[in-house]
Amino acid sequence: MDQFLEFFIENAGIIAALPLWTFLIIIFGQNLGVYDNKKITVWLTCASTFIGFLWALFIFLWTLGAEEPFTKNIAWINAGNIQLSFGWLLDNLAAVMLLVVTSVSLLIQIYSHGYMNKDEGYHRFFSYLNLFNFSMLGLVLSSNLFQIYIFWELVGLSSYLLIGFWYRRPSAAHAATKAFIINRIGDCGLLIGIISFLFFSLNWWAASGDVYLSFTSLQPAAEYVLTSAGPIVYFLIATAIFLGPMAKSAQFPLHTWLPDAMEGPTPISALIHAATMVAAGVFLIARAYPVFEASSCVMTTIAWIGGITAFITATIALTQYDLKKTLAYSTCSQLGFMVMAMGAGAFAAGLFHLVTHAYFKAMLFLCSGTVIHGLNDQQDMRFMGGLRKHMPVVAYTYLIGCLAISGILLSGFWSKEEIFSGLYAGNNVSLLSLGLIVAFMTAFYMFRTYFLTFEGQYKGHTHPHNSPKVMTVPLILLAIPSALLGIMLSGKFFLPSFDKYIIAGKESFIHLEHNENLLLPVISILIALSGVLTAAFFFWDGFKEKRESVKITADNVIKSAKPIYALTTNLWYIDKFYYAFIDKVFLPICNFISRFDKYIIDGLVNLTATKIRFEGWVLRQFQTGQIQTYLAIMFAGLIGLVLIFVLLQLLLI
Amino acid sequence: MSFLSLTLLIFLPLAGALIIYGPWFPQNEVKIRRFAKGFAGFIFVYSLLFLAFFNPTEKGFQFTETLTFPDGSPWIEPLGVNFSLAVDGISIILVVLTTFLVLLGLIASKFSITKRHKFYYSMIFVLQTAILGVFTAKDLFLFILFWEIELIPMYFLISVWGTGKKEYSAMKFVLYTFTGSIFMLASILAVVYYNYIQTGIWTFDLNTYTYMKAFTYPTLFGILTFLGFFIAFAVKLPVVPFHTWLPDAHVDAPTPVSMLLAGMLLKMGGYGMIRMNLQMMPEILKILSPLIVIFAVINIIYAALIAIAQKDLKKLVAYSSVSHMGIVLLGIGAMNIAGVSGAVFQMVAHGIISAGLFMIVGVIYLRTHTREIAELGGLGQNAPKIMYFSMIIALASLGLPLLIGFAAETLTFYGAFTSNVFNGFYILNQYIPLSIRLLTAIAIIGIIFAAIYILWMFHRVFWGNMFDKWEKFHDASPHEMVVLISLIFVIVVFGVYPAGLINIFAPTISSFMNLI
Repeated sequence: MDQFLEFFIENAGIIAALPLWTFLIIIFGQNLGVYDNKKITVWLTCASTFIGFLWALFIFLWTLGAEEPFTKNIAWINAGNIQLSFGWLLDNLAAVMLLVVTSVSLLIQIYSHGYMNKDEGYHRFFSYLNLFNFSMLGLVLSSNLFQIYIFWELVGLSSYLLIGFWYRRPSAAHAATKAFIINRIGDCGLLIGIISFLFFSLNWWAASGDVYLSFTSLQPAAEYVLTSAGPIVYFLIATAIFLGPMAKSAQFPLHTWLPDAMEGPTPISALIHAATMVAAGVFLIARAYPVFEASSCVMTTIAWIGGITAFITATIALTQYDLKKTLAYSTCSQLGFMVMAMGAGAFAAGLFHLVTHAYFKAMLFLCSGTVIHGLNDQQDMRFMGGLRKHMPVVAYTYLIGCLAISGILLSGFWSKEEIFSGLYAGNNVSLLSLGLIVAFMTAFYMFRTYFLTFEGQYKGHTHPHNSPKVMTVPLILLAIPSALLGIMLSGKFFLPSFDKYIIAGKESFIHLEHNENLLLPVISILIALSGVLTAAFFFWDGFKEKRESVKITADNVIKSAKPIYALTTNLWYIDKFYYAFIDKVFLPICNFISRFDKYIIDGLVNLTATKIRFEGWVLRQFQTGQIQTYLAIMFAGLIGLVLIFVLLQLLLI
Repeated sequence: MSFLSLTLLIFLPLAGALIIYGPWFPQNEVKIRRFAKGFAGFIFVYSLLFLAFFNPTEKGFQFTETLTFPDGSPWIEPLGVNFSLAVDGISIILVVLTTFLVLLGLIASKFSITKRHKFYYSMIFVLQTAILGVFTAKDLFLFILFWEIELIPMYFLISVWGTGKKEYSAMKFVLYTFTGSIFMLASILAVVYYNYIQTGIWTFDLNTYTYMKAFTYPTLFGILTFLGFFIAFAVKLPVVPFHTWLPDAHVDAPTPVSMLLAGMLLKMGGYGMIRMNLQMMPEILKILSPLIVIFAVINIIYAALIAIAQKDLKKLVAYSSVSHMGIVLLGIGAMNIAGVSGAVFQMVAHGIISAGLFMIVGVIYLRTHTREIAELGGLGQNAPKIMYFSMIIALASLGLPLLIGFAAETLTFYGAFTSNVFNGFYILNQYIPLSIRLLTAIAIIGIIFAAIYILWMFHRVFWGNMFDKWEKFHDASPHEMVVLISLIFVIVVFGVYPAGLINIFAPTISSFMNLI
């Protein structure tokens, strides 16, 4: 058995290579006209992901018995004192992420076969999906910080391609460019951070003989950097590295690309912009945890950025009418939760929430995709309603998702509760109360979408049509982990514990004692329930008479709280501020420099030329070749000299 | 290996030019082009043989070849001028880049050149001879000779086949470069004379001044000489504020000439800087490196900001060229192995990428007869192939990992960041604590601007709504495909496997950096 597992460990790179091969097969197969059958594409894709999933399972089995993480590296660049490598690092964290990515991917690929079937870019879509899988799995397997940077940019590329999948639509093209550029800001920070980290620890790496920037030795290296660079510089370095996760995991103030990214096909929103890629930021924080942990200022910054993001985006989600946008803001908010947990030292809780969130959020997005598909691309919830009768499977799975994300007994409850108890144990009262407020809002806006979409009367115009099995089966399959994964990994009732598994071998991390008293879970459930009830009061038809009798309807509330409502519907003016900054400050600066270049710098060059030409012209006047001119000048000169001579004589006398 | 003669390599193109230009060659356009492509292909393959037989681990120059008169006396005996050619790890790469790009440029000439074919193709070959001469010269006199010869074909190539204010641009290019090279001539004479005073021998031999360098130059003399070289190469590279000839020349040159101009001519500046400023007088570069690095950072940021504001597609690409050449300058200023390797890598990467970008501009211009970005839009709808090829090249240009630009940029940034060349400097006895690390961090911000101008351009040209007038915009023709696919092949291969390229020149760089 051991040797059998050994094979999978030694060749783990194949998990990432399989989708790359599939990508190449589809690209060349399509462009060289080898085949044109959609079945081939989808089977190849699903097979490669399924093999990856099995492979990940074996790796997971191996990690249960392994004591040390496994690494394997291949040199990539060797020049001077720089040595950069590619490789893979297998430990518990990698195994979990591999399982999550491959399983969600597989289900979404099956779903996409139904969703994209009528689209002319079917093969293109699947080739991009494979490219994404390659980059994401490469990122998860990365053995060092530098390699993670490479795949970091590649997942960004796949996201760019997929957001801009319908590139004829100006809004999609715009969203894709925006996503890439905002992510570039994060990448730039990450690159500066990595290079400066490497610079300060160069001697350490050279002495250790380990692969440069390897995750396994990051902790002593971080301590070395802290002592050699000093706390202030270290804070800057770690914050620069954190810029990467901030952009990728859509944290305030770089979160604005994620809601726009919903311009892509819905399976992409589910896979990339909810379950996997955006979680890569949290994954990087987990991977490079020793770097952040070494400085408490950095940790506090991270926690607060996460908390602020969770709060701001939750308030925005309250008032959105676009179903996908609401889910997108909810994703931002949940990512904020994870980042906050990471920053507060609740390492395992953050990752636990990442895992559960991946399943239920992917499912929620797929549900919304089915709804949108069934209503012929209607995304506005004001034109939905009563869909439970038309698509019961979707409605019930969506309800499971809502319960899960709101934290009512299903998976989200267990992971969120852990985050809360982590914050409580760390005495972060302010963050804890922020988290509880956000939990209330989460329950409210999720059930608001549920009531508006699936309950009440249908308010749209097109006839809702049901979806094929290929789209509903993945929903049902995703509903299982969404409902049960939380309790199954909670470590309660003699069930296995996710925390113990993920912390194993990292005892040195800040380990927050798990809070065993029942007060916190009860409070969090009560808060979630009150959120649900509030949503029901405003949006469920069962309470219609009641709310009209006390005259507290959604419209009245909006009227009475106009400034706040305006703030959230305008997305806190963050995007507006950015666009104003670009239009009023950045582009004018560029134009000014451009004009400076054209008129001043080039002007000086041309002025020099003109000056020389003028001098030439002046001299040319004396070189006309006409004997009359020469004689006239000679005569004038002679007279001039005589005059001077005479004048001098007169003056001297 | 006697069949590998550098003299033959650099004079083969000239022979090609004579064959085409002579009265014996038919006037038929197709035949001329076919012969030119075949001949350039042969030269490319021949140059590849040099690469194959090149021994990267050997220090110093290889394939050294000195032509003498039959009686054994050198070319210009009283001055110690030799006709001698050689290559090392850096120049062999640039030689192969040159022959490769000339071949692609000739293939790309099919539609953009519509008149005086004989003259055009012979001029391209003359240009190739001159550039190969610059890269292979092992004699300072020969170096400047080829450096100046290159101006003649370039002048004609821009002013005869160009568009717009072509005579103005061609003249500006020639005068600007020429003015710069006067300073280089002065510096070369100064260095040679200094050597004469020290050793009593007149020699222009490059090896004596670089690999076999026996003495350091006195500071003031060194700085003046250094600046003489620097000005010449700064014009060519180009370094802000000596760059204004470049957008004009690029915009008015025909597509293949723009490709060659960006792909090879700018590299002459970088090559010269590594040879003269770095290898010949490192002790002076060490003093002046704050100046060089500041110039580099200005180049990267300033040109990128201008590129964002451009409304003309070709100008945008031209300014992106300036910005990317700033990275070469940064690597040289870093003065360590990683930095200089990055600079050389960036020269190759930029040569390939910018040739690709100019090719794309040419492809679009051929179909639409406009370069105004605002006039274009949605071109990807009818031309998905062009769109995807452009996308790959554009992504390479903004430094996406696993494409060629990334390895170059990262290596340079890393080299510059880890360099200990200065932690601060004095201006008028005032200490300014601006370390190379801080300046490099500013330079890295340039990658954000690169993403902005490249992707915004790509978005406006290929995505979104299409104007009705571009209904008939047709996809890439076979010869365009050949050019673009060849470039993309190189972009991907060396992007995924940069060691394949680095291993050729890194030993050379480490050998002379260890001497410093």
